[in-house]
Amino acid sequence: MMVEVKLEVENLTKRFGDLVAVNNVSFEVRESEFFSLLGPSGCGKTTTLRCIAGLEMPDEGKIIIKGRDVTTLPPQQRGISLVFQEFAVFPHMTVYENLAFGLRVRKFSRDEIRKKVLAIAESLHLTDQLEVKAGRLGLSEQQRIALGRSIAVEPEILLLDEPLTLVDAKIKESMRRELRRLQKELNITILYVTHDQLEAMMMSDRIAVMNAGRLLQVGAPMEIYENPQNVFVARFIGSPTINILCAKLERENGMLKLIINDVKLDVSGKFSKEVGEKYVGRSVLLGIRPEDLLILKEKESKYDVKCKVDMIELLGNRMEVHMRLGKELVRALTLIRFDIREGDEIFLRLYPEKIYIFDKETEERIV
Amino acid sequence: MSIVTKALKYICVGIFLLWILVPVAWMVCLAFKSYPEWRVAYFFPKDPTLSNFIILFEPKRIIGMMGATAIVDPVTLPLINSLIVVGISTVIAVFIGFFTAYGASRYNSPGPFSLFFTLLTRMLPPATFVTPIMVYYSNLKLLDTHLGLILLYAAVTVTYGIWILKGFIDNIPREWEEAALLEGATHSQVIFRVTLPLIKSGLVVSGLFIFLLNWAELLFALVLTNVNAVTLPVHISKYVGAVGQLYGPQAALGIISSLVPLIVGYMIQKHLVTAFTFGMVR
Amino acid sequence: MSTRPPKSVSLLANLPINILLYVTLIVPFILMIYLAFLAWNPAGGYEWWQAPIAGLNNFIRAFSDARFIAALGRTVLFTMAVVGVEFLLGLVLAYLLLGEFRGKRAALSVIIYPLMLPWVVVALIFYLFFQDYGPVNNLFLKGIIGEAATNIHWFLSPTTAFITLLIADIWQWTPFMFLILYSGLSAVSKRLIEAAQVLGASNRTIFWRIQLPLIRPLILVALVLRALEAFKVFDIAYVMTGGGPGTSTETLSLYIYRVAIEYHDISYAAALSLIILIILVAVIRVFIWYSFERR
Repeated sequence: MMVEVKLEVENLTKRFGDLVAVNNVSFEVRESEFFSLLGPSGCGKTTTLRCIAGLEMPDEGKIIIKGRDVTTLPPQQRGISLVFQEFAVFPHMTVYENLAFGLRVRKFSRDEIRKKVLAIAESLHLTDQLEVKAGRLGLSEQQRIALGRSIAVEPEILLLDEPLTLVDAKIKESMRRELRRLQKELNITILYVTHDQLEAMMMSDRIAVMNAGRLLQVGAPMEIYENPQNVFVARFIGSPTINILCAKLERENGMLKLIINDVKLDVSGKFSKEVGEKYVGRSVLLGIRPEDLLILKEKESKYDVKCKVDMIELLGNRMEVHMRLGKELVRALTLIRFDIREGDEIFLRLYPEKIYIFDKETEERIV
Repeated sequence: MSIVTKALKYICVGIFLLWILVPVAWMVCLAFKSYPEWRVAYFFPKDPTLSNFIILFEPKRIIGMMGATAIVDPVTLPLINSLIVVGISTVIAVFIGFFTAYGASRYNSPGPFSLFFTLLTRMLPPATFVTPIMVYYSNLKLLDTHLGLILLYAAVTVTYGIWILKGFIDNIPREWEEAALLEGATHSQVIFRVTLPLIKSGLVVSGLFIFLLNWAELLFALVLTNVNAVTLPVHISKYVGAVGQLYGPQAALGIISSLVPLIVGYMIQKHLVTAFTFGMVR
Repeated sequence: MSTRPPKSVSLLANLPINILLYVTLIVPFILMIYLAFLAWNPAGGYEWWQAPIAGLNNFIRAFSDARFIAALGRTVLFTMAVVGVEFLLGLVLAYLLLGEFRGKRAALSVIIYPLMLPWVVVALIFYLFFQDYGPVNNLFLKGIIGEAATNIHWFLSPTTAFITLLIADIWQWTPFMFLILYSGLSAVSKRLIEAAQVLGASNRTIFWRIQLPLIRPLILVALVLRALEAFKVFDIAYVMTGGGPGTSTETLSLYIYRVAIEYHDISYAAALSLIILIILVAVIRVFIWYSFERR
């Protein structure tokens, strides 16, 4: 099945004075996809979004929407729609007029507008408030109005700039599900910007992780979670954060071993011959997720290492155990039924399949 | 935006700028023209002279031209009077305005009547209440005095001081004053040492604004002054009346009279944005 | 917010302003009410408290005083014309200057400066400008209608004299309207404008349907402020036309001034003043009630 590409971003670069906010970013968004731009504050995701929308002019690169090069076109002519973080509903207009705004601009007939607005109001639960002035309503209503009026114009791609940041924490969950449902129901292509990795993981078909203006990795949520390409992505995705330890790769008796402080770990199977040769004698970064660690009372295999428990945090039905592997601090997740106390000496199983190894300098994933 | 629209925009703005500049340009050019050139059609004087300016300052000169003569007073006295009267009344208006605004902002103190009354002083035409003031001053021997005019000017412009400064004071968090009080300061110390320095730019804005207004005031001065306390606007009006055909000196007078307000106005421009966001636009 | 103020603050906030107002203004106001009911001739050698009370004579006289009615009507006409034109011009100018462009700061400085000039100076400027041999006739109009231009005597015909007053006021005060409208329009949140843009609205649509409606209260305030000021018009009438030719450009303030100062008819002037004051206060009250009722 040929999947149609809605949006192509090619080599997008945007500078503000000396600061390169967006640095050679390229990706594409497919038809009916829920695509997220994920990254910490200041990573350039909002700037990228604004370039796609036409509110900023890129210094280099191209934006192509449904096969049309729109890089030099103003926002009105791009076939996009944008929901702002602050919603920006028109306070002096009623909910109806807000929803109808884009349609009126496009010169639809009054009846057509009425039909469309009513339909959208229905799916966003705004039907009772159509005659109320938008400025008087609360945040969650305003957010739905902003969403509704953007959907009403049936854009090629719907852009959303951290729309849930200002929303109450309690309502966020339900709004996320609403949004996803709406997207599937109306078959809209969405480009969603957020700094919340949980949100992105939960809602997206694919995620693009950005940092400091660069695009680091693009892929489906599970893909990114299980195969992070570098330390940043590994750290950014997943909660609690992945453990990153310093280790040295040595050859001992013909076998490759990772040395973390005084602990030795046999990792012969992980490396291919060339990579192994390249990194022997060098320091690398070892990554393993807290949920992938197994805590044992006694050493049972060659992958078990001795640790001392530093601190225990209780999280609902799980415990987060902070322990010391030599000098390094490691965190592991385990069920509460496990009976350990601070100061205990326990063993940690480091499954070789679950270990990620990164180059110390480039922070790129080796294995 | 297309090139055509952009060009149109520039042209329209340009036309408006010309419309602003041309009448003044004419006056400026007139001021430097000697007598024969007063009735000509072109702008720039072919033979520029300063004689028009000099005439303005000469003591009681009898100007005779084309058979018409007129006695005119020199402009020095009105100029000085204006500076004194307007300067002092501005200071009074700003400070009384500050005190009142402080009470109004923190405590709703002076009450709606006083505030409404001060607003009225700006809303009602001066001509409608100058008559009794004239009688009143005549009985109080305040006619043609600096004091009389100063009091009146302060009274009718204090409302701007209150209005503008209240906006500024509203924006100073009360907590800062309360902190000073907790440290043992008296209320008046708080007002003068804490709040006052913080709204310095408000004082400047209201001061400049009130200054401009009073500097331009004609009616009250016309009615209430005669010889001693004559202000500049009165002098100008006499000049046009008495010497209707002497365009050169009139133009020169116009230029001199504009210098002070233009300087003041230039100073206010820098603070204009704060002025507009802090109360006038509200 | 309104706790009881301490004595010292209360004193400071109330005493100076009250002294100033009462001494300078309130006493005269009360005096005016008394004066209006007198028949007093100041030249007669007696003081006002010795003058006989004439009841409502002055007021009755006012209602049949054609010159008074004419002055009032003329001033109202002037106010409406001037405020209307200034608003429209100010709006056009504000729209034109909204975006960024080269020389904007310089343009703004130039636009603002007429506001700084005293009215008398403005009157002087246009008095010189509209002279028979001035540039309006000799340069501009000559180009349009040829030699006939020199026959237009601006200050000698009622209509043209009135027009000179209008032009002088418009010249000086359009920048005021412009400033208020421009500040208001610029203050409209950039986000709202961007939101309209991404929904497909052109700049014109944004101006009419987003920016203007949002500054409606501001527009109202500006119009009222300007109207009140325009109603007071005195300086330009006194200096430029002297009310002439005849009394055809005599504004209300000018007439009352004349009655008091040139005709020395103090009590009649006081009566006229009172009438106008009552009318104005009534209009203002109605307006305040109207604008608060709409909430």
